[in-house]
Amino acid sequence: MEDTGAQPEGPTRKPFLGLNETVGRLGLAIFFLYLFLVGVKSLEKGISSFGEDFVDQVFSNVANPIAGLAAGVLATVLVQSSSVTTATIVGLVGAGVLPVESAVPMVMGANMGTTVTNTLASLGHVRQSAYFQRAFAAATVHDYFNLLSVAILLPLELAFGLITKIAEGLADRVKGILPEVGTGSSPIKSAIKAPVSWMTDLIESFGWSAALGAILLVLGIGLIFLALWMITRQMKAVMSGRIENAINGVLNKGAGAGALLAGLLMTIAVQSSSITTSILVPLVAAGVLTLRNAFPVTLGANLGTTVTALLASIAADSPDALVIALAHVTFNILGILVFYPWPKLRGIPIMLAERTGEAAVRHKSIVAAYVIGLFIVTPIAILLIT
Amino acid sequence: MFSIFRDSDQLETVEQQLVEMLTNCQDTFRLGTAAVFGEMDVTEAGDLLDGVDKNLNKTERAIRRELLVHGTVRGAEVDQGLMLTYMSVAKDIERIGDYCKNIWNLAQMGVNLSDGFDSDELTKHCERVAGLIKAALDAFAEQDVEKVHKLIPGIKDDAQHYDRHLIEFVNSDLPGRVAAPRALFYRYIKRISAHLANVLSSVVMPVDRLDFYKKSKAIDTE
Repeated sequence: MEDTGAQPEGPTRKPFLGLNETVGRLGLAIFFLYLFLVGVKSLEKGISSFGEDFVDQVFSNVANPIAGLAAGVLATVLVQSSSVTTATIVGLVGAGVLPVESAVPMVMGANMGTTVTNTLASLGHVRQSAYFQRAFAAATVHDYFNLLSVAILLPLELAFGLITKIAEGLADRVKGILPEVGTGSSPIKSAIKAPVSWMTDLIESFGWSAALGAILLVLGIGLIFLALWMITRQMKAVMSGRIENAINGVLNKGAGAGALLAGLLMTIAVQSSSITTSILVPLVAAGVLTLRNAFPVTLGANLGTTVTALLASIAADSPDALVIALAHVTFNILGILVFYPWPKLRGIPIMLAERTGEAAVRHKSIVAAYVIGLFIVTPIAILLIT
Repeated sequence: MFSIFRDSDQLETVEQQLVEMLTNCQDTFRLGTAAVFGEMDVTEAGDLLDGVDKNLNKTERAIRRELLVHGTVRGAEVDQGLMLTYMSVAKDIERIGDYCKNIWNLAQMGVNLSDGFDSDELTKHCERVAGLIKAALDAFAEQDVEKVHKLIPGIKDDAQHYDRHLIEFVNSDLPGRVAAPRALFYRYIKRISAHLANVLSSVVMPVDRLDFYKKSKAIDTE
């Protein structure tokens, strides 16, 4: 019998992103980058407005480094973005609420928390055992790298202040080259401060001075969220073709420094490590990318996401904001230096992830226990205990 | 190293690869028929054909990977229909390569179609299929809807003609060494033509009707 319904869509070519759209999207991304910095500044100003009691309360809550680590994990899991968490931490440090030493474990926690996104993405493959085994391994290799890095570097930080000292040294070098960093004098900082001053004046003109801190804080976090979301959206649209090329390059050329660089550049471009790592999960699940070849891309993504904190530090007045942003970079570089160059050490997170993938397929309950236990129950328990 | 970050339209790349695969099919058909008509040394043709066929298979795998990457990176924005179409087209073209290799296999088994009673007709069919591959390549590369609507009915007529020959040889009293290779040859060129029709159908048919050409159901038909 002849069907008389509307003709379905046939194969048609979608137009390639034109120059005008590319320029337009890049312009929007720059605008939202500015809004992001305004958001960080607003957050910083809002926190400063709360007074010393608030500062003492926040500090007492995260003075314990394990609690700081747990807070970083939990905050990132809740907001589903390490960029938002690290930008907030930079704002807290910039406002003088949080000392760098206390912020370092929080940044490590943010690094760990961000991996929940691709772990959740891997659950999409749960119907097919072989696919799911590879997908879960691809997701958890990121977790294991972060966990192992924290296990090695947090004690070194607590005992010797290793990461803080390196970050301070790097910050001194940056300040040697760019003296306006960490001061309120650069034209960019003036441009960022202006809207926050207008918002402050507006809030005070309404007679809401008592709530000034809370309003600026909420506005700041809202702007950070919105701006990062929009930057990621615009940049993903502009960069999709290049990301495909980069991934195809990794598939053709295999693992190595090129794959690490591809992960780094992709993440810097889209301002989200979750996008990069979540792209890897289905490719590993489908078997076209091996876990061993996906691993350096993951490491690159981990490092690339630290750029957000560096950008956030532009908005902050305190030089410590740059130090904590550089501490984030340092933590990831040290992690890579420990777990990438030597094949035996490189094999540890890969082997752990493969075992976890195998176990997840045998007992699906392990998956729920892993996700809820690692990302929710453990951090909450640590926060309650400490 | 930064060349990996060069921008490009990935689906356009896949289209170019499909055209390249069809160009390879021209070579595999030429080599297969040259061997079975005794125009070329069987071993030499086989070596060359093997190289082209490997390239065909390699390109098909690359297309699959690239489409997977495209779908993964683009997510909801991806043109699912086009991706499924190109997967199907790549498979059809790869199969054409396989049938050309089957024709060469006849030569490898000692068959020479140039010295038979029907060599003129067989040569004529070879030229027709070779011309069809070229026409399909052009129509696909240019996405020429009109050309496709002209080509596919002709291919259907050819298929019926090849089938008649096939049945004739299967039921003939000719010795097996004469009838069997001819029956197989007609079967192979029928399949090559059918896969070419499938490739062409991708230009005009909706995704669910790929390989099932019907002019009244084509996307350009009101």
